[in-house]
Amino acid sequence: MFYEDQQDQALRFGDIVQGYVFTAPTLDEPTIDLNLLNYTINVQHPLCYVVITPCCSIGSGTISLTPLIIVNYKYFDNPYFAKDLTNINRAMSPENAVSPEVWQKFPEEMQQVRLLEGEAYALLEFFIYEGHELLQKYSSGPKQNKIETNYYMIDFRNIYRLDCKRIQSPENSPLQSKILQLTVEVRNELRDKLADYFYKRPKEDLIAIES
Amino acid sequence: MTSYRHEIDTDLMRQFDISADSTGSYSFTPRTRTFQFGKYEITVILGPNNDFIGISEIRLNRDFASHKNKITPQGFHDVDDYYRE
Repeated sequence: MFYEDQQDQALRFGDIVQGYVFTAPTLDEPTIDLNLLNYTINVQHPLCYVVITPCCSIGSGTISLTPLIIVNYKYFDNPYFAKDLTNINRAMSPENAVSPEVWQKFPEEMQQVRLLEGEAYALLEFFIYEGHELLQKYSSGPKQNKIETNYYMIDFRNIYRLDCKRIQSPENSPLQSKILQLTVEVRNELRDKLADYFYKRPKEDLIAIES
Repeated sequence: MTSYRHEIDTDLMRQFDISADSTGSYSFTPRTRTFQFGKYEITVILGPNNDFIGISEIRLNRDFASHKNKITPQGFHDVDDYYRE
Protein backbone atom coordinates (compact mmCIF):
# COMPACT_ATOMS: atom_id res chain seq x y z
CA MET A 1 0.00 0.00 0.00
CA PHE A 2 1.35 3.44 -0.90
CA TYR A 3 -0.96 5.82 0.99
CA GLU A 4 -2.48 5.45 4.44
CA ASP A 5 -6.24 4.99 4.58
CA GLN A 6 -6.36 6.78 7.92
CA GLN A 7 -4.24 9.91 8.09
CA ASP A 8 -2.58 11.23 11.25
CA GLN A 9 -3.75 14.58 12.55
CA ALA A 10 -0.30 15.98 11.96
CA LEU A 11 1.95 16.99 9.09
CA ARG A 12 4.43 14.24 8.26
CA PHE A 13 7.54 13.85 6.13
CA GLY A 14 6.40 12.74 2.66
CA ASP A 15 2.83 14.12 2.97
CA ILE A 16 1.21 15.56 -0.15
CA VAL A 17 -0.13 19.03 0.68
CA GLN A 18 -1.86 21.83 -1.21
CA GLY A 19 -2.26 25.56 -1.04
CA TYR A 20 1.31 26.76 -0.77
CA VAL A 21 3.59 28.58 -3.23
CA PHE A 22 6.85 27.63 -4.92
CA THR A 23 9.62 30.17 -5.46
CA ALA A 24 12.90 29.80 -7.30
CA PRO A 25 15.23 32.83 -7.32
CA THR A 26 17.25 33.17 -10.52
CA LEU A 27 20.57 34.97 -10.56
CA ASP A 28 22.63 36.04 -13.62
CA GLU A 29 25.92 36.06 -11.74
CA PRO A 30 26.82 35.87 -8.06
CA THR A 31 28.43 39.09 -6.81
CA ILE A 32 29.16 40.81 -3.51
CA ASP A 33 28.48 44.22 -5.09
CA LEU A 34 24.79 44.88 -4.38
CA ASN A 35 24.65 47.45 -7.18
CA LEU A 36 25.44 44.72 -9.67
CA LEU A 37 23.13 42.08 -8.17
CA ASN A 38 20.64 41.11 -10.87
CA TYR A 39 18.03 38.54 -9.92
CA THR A 40 14.42 37.55 -10.47
CA ILE A 41 12.11 35.65 -8.18
CA ASN A 42 9.53 33.45 -9.87
CA VAL A 43 6.49 32.47 -7.86
CA GLN A 44 4.53 29.46 -9.03
CA HIS A 45 1.40 27.70 -7.79
CA PRO A 46 1.75 23.99 -8.47
CA LEU A 47 -1.25 21.92 -7.52
CA CYS A 48 0.54 19.84 -4.90
CA TYR A 49 3.72 19.71 -2.86
CA VAL A 50 5.53 17.15 -0.76
CA VAL A 51 6.74 17.81 2.79
CA ILE A 52 10.47 17.17 2.99
CA THR A 53 11.14 18.37 6.55
CA PRO A 54 11.73 15.37 8.84
CA CYS A 55 8.66 15.00 11.08
CA CYS A 56 10.36 16.03 14.34
CA SER A 57 11.72 19.23 12.72
CA ILE A 58 8.37 20.52 11.42
CA GLY A 59 7.61 23.77 13.25
CA SER A 60 8.99 27.19 14.22
CA GLY A 61 7.10 28.78 11.34
CA THR A 62 9.09 27.05 8.60
CA ILE A 63 8.87 23.96 6.42
CA SER A 64 10.78 22.40 3.49
CA LEU A 65 8.70 21.48 0.46
CA THR A 66 9.17 20.31 -3.10
CA PRO A 67 6.53 20.54 -5.82
CA LEU A 68 4.89 17.42 -7.23
CA ILE A 69 5.79 17.26 -10.94
CA ILE A 70 4.65 15.15 -13.86
CA VAL A 71 6.50 11.93 -14.57
CA ASN A 72 9.09 11.77 -17.35
CA TYR A 73 7.26 9.82 -20.10
CA LYS A 74 10.55 8.17 -21.14
CA TYR A 75 10.42 6.03 -18.00
CA PHE A 76 7.65 4.01 -19.64
CA ASP A 77 10.12 2.84 -22.32
CA ASN A 78 11.67 0.61 -19.66
CA PRO A 79 9.37 -2.41 -19.06
CA TYR A 80 10.66 -2.71 -15.47
CA PHE A 81 9.45 0.83 -14.77
CA ALA A 82 6.31 0.55 -16.92
CA LYS A 83 5.00 -2.42 -14.89
CA ASP A 84 5.47 -0.47 -11.63
CA LEU A 85 6.82 3.07 -11.72
CA THR A 86 7.52 2.94 -7.99
CA ASN A 87 10.38 0.52 -8.77
CA ILE A 88 12.32 3.75 -9.37
CA ASN A 89 12.08 4.41 -5.62
CA ARG A 90 14.09 1.30 -4.73
CA ALA A 91 17.53 -0.13 -5.49
CA MET A 92 17.62 -2.32 -8.60
CA SER A 93 19.97 -4.46 -10.65
CA PRO A 94 21.99 -2.75 -13.42
CA GLU A 95 20.06 -4.61 -16.14
CA ASN A 96 16.74 -3.27 -14.85
CA ALA A 97 17.97 0.34 -14.74
CA VAL A 98 17.62 0.61 -18.53
CA SER A 99 15.42 -1.10 -21.13
CA PRO A 100 16.64 -4.50 -22.43
CA GLU A 101 17.33 -2.92 -25.86
CA VAL A 102 19.64 -0.32 -24.30
CA TRP A 103 21.38 -2.96 -22.13
CA GLN A 104 22.06 -5.22 -25.14
CA LYS A 105 23.71 -2.33 -26.99
CA PHE A 106 26.24 -1.69 -24.20
CA PRO A 107 29.69 -3.06 -25.10
CA GLU A 108 30.65 -6.00 -22.90
CA GLU A 109 33.22 -3.95 -21.01
CA MET A 110 30.58 -1.37 -20.10
CA GLN A 111 28.18 -4.10 -19.00
CA GLN A 112 30.91 -5.52 -16.72
CA VAL A 113 31.61 -2.11 -15.19
CA ARG A 114 27.90 -1.51 -14.59
CA LEU A 115 27.47 -4.98 -13.07
CA LEU A 116 30.07 -4.01 -10.45
CA GLU A 117 27.46 -1.62 -8.99
CA GLY A 118 25.19 -4.48 -8.00
CA GLU A 119 21.82 -3.44 -6.54
CA ALA A 120 21.76 0.37 -6.43
CA TYR A 121 19.47 3.33 -7.08
CA ALA A 122 18.90 4.74 -10.56
CA LEU A 123 17.54 8.24 -11.29
CA LEU A 124 18.84 9.31 -7.93
CA GLU A 125 17.15 12.74 -7.86
CA PHE A 126 13.63 11.39 -8.33
CA PHE A 127 10.95 9.70 -6.22
CA ILE A 128 7.68 8.47 -7.69
CA TYR A 129 4.27 9.09 -6.10
CA GLU A 130 1.71 6.46 -6.97
CA GLY A 131 -1.50 7.50 -8.70
CA HIS A 132 -4.54 8.18 -6.53
CA GLU A 133 -8.09 9.36 -7.26
CA LEU A 134 -7.27 12.64 -5.52
CA LEU A 135 -4.42 13.28 -7.97
CA GLN A 136 -5.38 14.76 -11.33
CA LYS A 137 -4.80 12.67 -14.48
CA TYR A 138 -2.70 14.15 -17.26
CA SER A 139 -1.22 13.11 -20.59
CA SER A 140 2.43 13.34 -21.46
CA GLY A 141 4.80 12.47 -24.27
CA PRO A 142 4.84 12.78 -28.08
CA LYS A 143 1.56 12.69 -30.08
CA GLN A 144 2.16 9.21 -31.47
CA ASN A 145 3.00 7.77 -28.08
CA LYS A 146 1.07 9.70 -25.44
CA ILE A 147 0.76 8.24 -21.97
CA GLU A 148 -2.15 8.89 -19.60
CA THR A 149 -1.38 8.67 -15.92
CA ASN A 150 -1.97 10.17 -12.51
CA TYR A 151 1.42 9.12 -11.17
CA TYR A 152 3.61 12.03 -10.17
CA MET A 153 7.16 12.44 -8.95
CA ILE A 154 9.36 14.81 -7.00
CA ASP A 155 12.82 16.09 -7.88
CA PHE A 156 15.08 16.50 -4.84
CA ARG A 157 16.83 19.40 -6.58
CA ASN A 158 13.62 21.44 -6.25
CA ILE A 159 13.53 21.33 -2.43
CA TYR A 160 13.04 24.81 -0.95
CA ARG A 161 12.15 26.48 2.33
CA LEU A 162 8.83 28.20 2.98
CA ASP A 163 7.96 30.31 6.01
CA CYS A 164 4.43 30.12 7.41
CA LYS A 165 3.57 31.22 10.97
CA ARG A 166 0.77 28.65 11.15
CA ILE A 167 3.33 25.82 11.12
CA GLN A 168 4.31 25.55 14.79
CA SER A 169 4.60 21.77 15.21
CA PRO A 170 3.51 18.67 13.26
CA GLU A 171 0.13 18.73 15.05
CA ASN A 172 -0.19 22.52 15.23
CA SER A 173 -0.14 23.18 11.50
CA PRO A 174 -2.70 23.91 8.79
CA LEU A 175 -3.86 20.30 8.54
CA GLN A 176 -6.52 21.23 5.97
CA SER A 177 -3.61 21.51 3.49
CA LYS A 178 -2.81 17.81 3.86
CA ILE A 179 -4.40 15.51 1.28
CA LEU A 180 -2.40 12.25 1.30
CA GLN A 181 -0.02 10.53 3.73
CA LEU A 182 2.53 7.85 2.87
CA THR A 183 2.55 4.51 4.66
CA VAL A 184 5.44 3.93 7.05
CA GLU A 185 7.16 1.61 4.51
CA VAL A 186 6.98 4.11 1.65
CA ARG A 187 8.02 6.96 3.94
CA ASN A 188 11.08 4.84 4.76
CA GLU A 189 11.80 4.38 1.05
CA LEU A 190 11.65 8.15 0.53
CA ARG A 191 13.92 8.74 3.50
CA ASP A 192 16.43 6.15 2.27
CA LYS A 193 16.57 7.49 -1.28
CA LEU A 194 16.80 11.12 -0.13
CA ALA A 195 19.65 10.21 2.23
CA ASP A 196 21.41 8.37 -0.58
CA TYR A 197 21.00 11.38 -2.89
CA PHE A 198 22.77 13.64 -0.41
CA TYR A 199 25.32 10.93 0.38
CA LYS A 200 26.42 10.59 -3.27
CA ARG A 201 30.20 11.02 -3.56
CA PRO A 202 32.04 11.83 -6.80
CA LYS A 203 34.43 9.17 -8.11
CA GLU A 204 37.48 11.34 -7.55
CA ASP A 205 36.59 11.53 -3.84
CA LEU A 206 36.06 7.75 -3.67
CA ILE A 207 39.46 7.12 -5.29
CA ALA A 208 41.16 9.67 -3.00
CA ILE A 209 39.58 8.08 0.10
CA GLU A 210 40.68 4.58 -0.99
CA SER A 211 44.21 5.78 -1.71
CA MET B 1 56.49 9.83 -13.25
CA THR B 2 58.95 7.67 -11.35
CA SER B 3 60.50 4.69 -13.02
CA TYR B 4 62.87 2.17 -11.48
CA ARG B 5 64.76 0.43 -14.22
CA HIS B 6 67.20 -2.36 -13.58
CA GLU B 7 69.88 -3.04 -16.09
CA ILE B 8 69.18 -6.54 -17.22
CA ASP B 9 71.61 -8.66 -15.25
CA THR B 10 74.16 -9.93 -17.75
CA ASP B 11 75.09 -12.83 -15.41
CA LEU B 12 71.44 -13.74 -15.35
CA MET B 13 71.33 -13.59 -19.11
CA ARG B 14 74.42 -15.73 -19.46
CA GLN B 15 72.50 -18.60 -17.91
CA PHE B 16 70.74 -18.99 -21.21
CA ASP B 17 73.93 -19.44 -23.17
CA ILE B 18 75.09 -23.02 -23.12
CA SER B 19 78.92 -23.25 -22.82
CA ALA B 20 81.08 -24.07 -25.81
CA ASP B 21 81.87 -27.60 -24.64
CA SER B 22 78.29 -28.73 -25.13
CA THR B 23 77.37 -30.76 -28.17
CA GLY B 24 75.22 -27.99 -29.49
CA SER B 25 74.37 -24.48 -28.61
CA TYR B 26 71.12 -23.05 -27.50
CA SER B 27 70.22 -19.59 -26.40
CA PHE B 28 67.05 -17.63 -26.37
CA THR B 29 66.07 -14.01 -26.00
CA PRO B 30 64.19 -13.55 -22.75
CA ARG B 31 60.71 -12.21 -23.14
CA THR B 32 59.26 -9.47 -21.06
CA ARG B 33 55.67 -8.91 -20.07
CA THR B 34 54.08 -5.99 -18.28
CA PHE B 35 51.47 -6.45 -15.53
CA GLN B 36 49.22 -4.02 -13.69
CA PHE B 37 49.72 -4.11 -9.93
CA GLY B 38 47.67 -1.47 -8.13
CA LYS B 39 48.95 1.85 -9.40
CA TYR B 40 52.18 0.32 -10.72
CA GLU B 41 53.19 -1.37 -13.95
CA ILE B 42 55.72 -4.15 -13.44
CA THR B 43 57.74 -5.56 -16.32
CA VAL B 44 58.91 -9.09 -15.63
CA ILE B 45 61.41 -11.24 -17.51
CA LEU B 46 60.12 -14.64 -18.49
CA GLY B 47 62.04 -17.77 -19.40
CA PRO B 48 61.31 -20.18 -22.27
CA ASN B 49 58.64 -21.92 -20.19
CA ASN B 50 57.09 -18.66 -19.01
CA ASP B 51 58.94 -19.12 -15.77
CA PHE B 52 59.76 -16.03 -13.75
CA ILE B 53 63.35 -14.90 -14.11
CA GLY B 54 63.34 -11.38 -12.72
CA ILE B 55 61.93 -7.89 -12.79
CA SER B 56 63.28 -5.44 -15.31
CA GLU B 57 61.21 -2.34 -14.53
CA ILE B 58 58.67 -0.90 -12.10
CA ARG B 59 56.91 2.33 -12.91
CA LEU B 60 53.82 4.31 -11.99
CA ASN B 61 50.87 3.81 -14.31
CA ARG B 62 50.15 7.28 -15.70
CA ASP B 63 46.68 6.07 -16.68
CA PHE B 64 45.98 4.78 -13.17
CA ALA B 65 43.46 7.49 -12.37
CA SER B 66 41.40 6.89 -15.50
CA HIS B 67 41.61 3.09 -15.08
CA LYS B 68 40.52 3.34 -11.42
CA ASN B 69 37.91 5.85 -12.46
CA LYS B 70 36.45 3.29 -14.83
CA ILE B 71 36.22 0.44 -12.35
CA THR B 72 35.36 2.20 -9.07
CA PRO B 73 31.67 1.67 -8.30
CA GLN B 74 29.77 4.95 -7.97
CA GLY B 75 27.05 3.67 -5.67
CA PHE B 76 24.24 4.34 -8.16
CA HIS B 77 23.31 3.47 -11.78
CA ASP B 78 24.26 6.32 -14.08
CA VAL B 79 21.38 6.10 -16.56
CA ASP B 80 19.95 9.64 -16.77
CA ASP B 81 21.16 10.04 -20.38
CA TYR B 82 18.87 7.19 -21.50
CA TYR B 83 15.75 8.99 -20.27
CA ARG B 84 16.26 12.48 -21.73
CA GLU B 85 12.95 13.90 -22.94
